Amino acid sequence: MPPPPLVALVGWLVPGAGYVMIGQRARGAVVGITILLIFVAGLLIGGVRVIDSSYIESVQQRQEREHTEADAQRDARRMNRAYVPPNPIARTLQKPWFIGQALAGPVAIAANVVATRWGGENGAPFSHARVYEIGVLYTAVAGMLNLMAIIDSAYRASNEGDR
Amino acid sequence: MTTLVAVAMTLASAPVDASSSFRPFWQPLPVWNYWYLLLVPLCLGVSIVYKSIKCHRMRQVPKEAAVIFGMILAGMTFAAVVLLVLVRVMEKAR
Repeated sequence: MPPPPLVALVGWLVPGAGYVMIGQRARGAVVGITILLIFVAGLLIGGVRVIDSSYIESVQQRQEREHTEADAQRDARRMNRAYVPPNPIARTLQKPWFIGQALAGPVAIAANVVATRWGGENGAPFSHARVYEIGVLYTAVAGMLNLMAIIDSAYRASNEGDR
Repeated sequence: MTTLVAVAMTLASAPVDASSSFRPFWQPLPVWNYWYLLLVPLCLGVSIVYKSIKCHRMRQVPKEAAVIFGMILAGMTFAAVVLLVLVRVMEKAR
């Protein structure tokens, strides 16, 4: 039986592949295909821009962030205070849905890169209102379901395939 | 199954803005008036994955997933009806 951390890593890389590694192909196929279908359905419903992280930015987003940081630096200098750059954790929590979405695997990161590069400097357009919310919900739920599958497959790997 | 067919038919008949052709994954799906129906396939997906993880044998999954899918739909419908009645009562009281 492969080591549980390896099963967990493979399960993150390809949803359901953790089960395949421990010999449970049917379970892996059903879980993996369903999670990927939910994720792709989310992208279809809200547009690819429902995947939005603080670290993968379009050219326009980066310019806006640099502008805001330059303003904050100027204000700090004027008040004779040391400029504190944004805390990485706080920056991540500005867009907390991406934490759930990223659990669906590299497909979420790839979708974010495509969303920020597709269509020029602004990236793909954002959708709004309920359709955007439902798209974000689908993709984040897909990630959370994959987390359940990762934990379960790793636990089964440590118990010789049983729960 | 009947629910899924109803959802598919409703989505297929959703109004599409004729002035701009829909580009999948670039533009959102034009289902502004039917967004709540999109929760149904999500519940189905959650039911299948949850029961695939939970069940000891994969043969049990279709039946168990169908049961929990029905329970989720019934629970959501019940919550929606309760909230609707509550809103109506509060509107009358004002």
